Amino acid sequence: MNDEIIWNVINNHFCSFKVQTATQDFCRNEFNVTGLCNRQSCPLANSRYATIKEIDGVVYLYVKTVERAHSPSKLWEKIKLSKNYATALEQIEKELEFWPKFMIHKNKQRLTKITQYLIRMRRLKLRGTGTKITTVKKKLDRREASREAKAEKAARLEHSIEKELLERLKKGLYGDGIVNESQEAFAKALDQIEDEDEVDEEAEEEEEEMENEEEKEMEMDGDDDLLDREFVSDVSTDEEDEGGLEDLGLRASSKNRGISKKGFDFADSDDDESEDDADLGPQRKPRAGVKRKASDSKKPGPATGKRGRKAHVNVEYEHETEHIQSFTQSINW
Amino acid sequence: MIQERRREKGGSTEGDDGRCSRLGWMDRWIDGLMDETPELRRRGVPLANDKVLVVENWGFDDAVLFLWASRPVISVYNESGAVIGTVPRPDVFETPIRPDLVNSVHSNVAKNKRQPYAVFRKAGHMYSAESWGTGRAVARIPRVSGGGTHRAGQGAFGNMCRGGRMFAPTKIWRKWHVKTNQNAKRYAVASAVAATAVAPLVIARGHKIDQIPEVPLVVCDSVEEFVRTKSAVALLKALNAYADVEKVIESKKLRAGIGKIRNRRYRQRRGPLVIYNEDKGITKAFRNLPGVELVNVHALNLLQLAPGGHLGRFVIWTQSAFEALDGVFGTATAPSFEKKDYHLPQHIMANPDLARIINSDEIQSVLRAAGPKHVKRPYKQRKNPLKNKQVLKRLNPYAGVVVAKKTYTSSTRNTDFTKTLVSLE
Repeated sequence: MNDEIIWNVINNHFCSFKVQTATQDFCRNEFNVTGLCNRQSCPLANSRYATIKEIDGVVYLYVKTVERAHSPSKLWEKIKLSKNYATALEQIEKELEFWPKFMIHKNKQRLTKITQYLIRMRRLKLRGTGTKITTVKKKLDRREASREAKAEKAARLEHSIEKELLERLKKGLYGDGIVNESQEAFAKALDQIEDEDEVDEEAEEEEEEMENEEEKEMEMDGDDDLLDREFVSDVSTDEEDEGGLEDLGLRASSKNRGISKKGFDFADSDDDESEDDADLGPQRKPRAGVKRKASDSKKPGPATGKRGRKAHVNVEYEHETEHIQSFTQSINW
Repeated sequence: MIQERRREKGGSTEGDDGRCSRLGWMDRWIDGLMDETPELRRRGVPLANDKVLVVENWGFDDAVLFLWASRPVISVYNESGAVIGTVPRPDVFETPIRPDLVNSVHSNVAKNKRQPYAVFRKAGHMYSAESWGTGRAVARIPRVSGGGTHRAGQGAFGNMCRGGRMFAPTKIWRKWHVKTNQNAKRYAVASAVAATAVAPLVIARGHKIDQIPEVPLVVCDSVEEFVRTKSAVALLKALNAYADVEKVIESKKLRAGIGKIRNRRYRQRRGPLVIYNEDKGITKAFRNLPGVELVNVHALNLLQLAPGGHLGRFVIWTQSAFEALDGVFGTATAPSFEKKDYHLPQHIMANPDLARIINSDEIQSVLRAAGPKHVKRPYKQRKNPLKNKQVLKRLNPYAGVVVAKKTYTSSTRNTDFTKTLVSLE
């Protein structure tokens, strides 16, 4: 059958191998040299045709001639090409001698491309790909991230850390040299410790009143410290010794619990406060006004001076008597 | 002569011309002379003029004579795929291949099996609706008479109305069937038959025939007596034609659209067409295979030979069917037996390969010599002579001289270059 007629039918009517795009037509026939749908490239419309095909790394030259056009099973002559690229090119030239230049050229081009990708394949197998591409699992990642956040939130790490730190504080690991970072946490901790100790205090009070007088006073002093109102004495030292904003803040934030239960001594509280603050810093406050169990306190004896309750008590008395005297004097005149 | 043709230098990319296409079979025949001639010598060679040539003392010259006197020959295969004989090729396969004609005839003939469809003739008009006329502050469309229901007073009859009749209601007296000229129909069928013998067209249509032994594929008559599908499958597998059936099996899919519920549930490709002369059971053997169709050679159907109007159906002939084709269509010289007064269509061009004709020696030798090549517009892109030195030289040859004479001093040196030098320092 005439090639021209075949091309007319295939091109203008129907060909199952033709793939049409906006710019170009492609040919899906496995024997097409170029892959394009052309008059010259069509393996169906050219009774004399040649292609290069690669099977399992071996390159073959397929040739078809008009003499075998009637027999599809024997149509293509399969010629194995040399692995050597230059030799293979020569082989093509020899087999397709006297064929149109287009055919020879395209076959050589195809051979070149195939050898290039075979080389690349071998190289990749040897060296391997540097990176492995994996997919981003958006749904998975999102789900896990939110779960992580929830777990973190549920774990309440800050609480456990806080507890741990307070434990250590109680044990006295930090000694005296703690610097407060967060006012709120400190105040909260203060309150906590206060609550604990309040319970203890009450229990002790019931047992021993005498002993508790001082302690009460101490406590009251402590409570007084926490009052918003500040009662300033005449003595200048008190004023000087008064703490800065820190103390004020602390006083404000901490709760007033003991006030209702016990009376307060303004003067005492102020003095105590100011002295404490001046000497020991704000963190000393709870300790100053709070009764401590024997086991808890690691304070040294009177040797440390104003540290420790006993030493503190001594000082108190002195001031107290003075103030009372002055006060009574002022009233009674 | 044959040797020369084979080793022709710089031949055209196309195959040989119409007449030389016989060379294919010719070479084949010469090569297989040893195998085939004993039988042919005995039986005699069928000739175009319906005579039989019997030659004594067959020699090479006789063979050559034979070539120009007789028709090409096609092998016949048996159930196991072996060649058991040959048949001469009927002249139908020389019919001009006319895709345009086949397409138009096919579209006409395909309409002949239609069933009428129409809407109910009274649809939309079964109301006593009347227009309320003007003056009622409503559109003038006829409105449904009566009362007591929503429907009362609603628009009726118009194609725009809800519940109205459609625009141009379809009628059953539409012209469903199309009459085609008998000769055109016969031409189309003959052309389609010819196309089945062209392997590229069959492949292009989408059939998987890469491994079959020959095109056209002729099978011995014992196939007509097949009753079992098993034997049919065995035959197809032996001929490597089963790949086409497998293609059909894989292609079965649910139809998209409402056709699903209208008894057109599945769609699949078309497989091989088996053409027989006498049904001695062959229909029963092949009919259950998906995609396979069967036709009696005396009742060839264009809708099966060129499905969709596309040429090149894969056909499997039985030997008697193949031999009967000459009686069905006639030969180049003799009219058809079965179609009254019918002759096969003749070619307008004996050799349709125009390029080869023009380049042939007979014509080239008579043409006058070609003149010098004159390119009307040699330079497709205009290049600026002020920038492009070659173009400048072309237009002004003296420019080259000027440049050569020019001496380079610090003043003429390229200032930009100097600047870059300075910056680098």
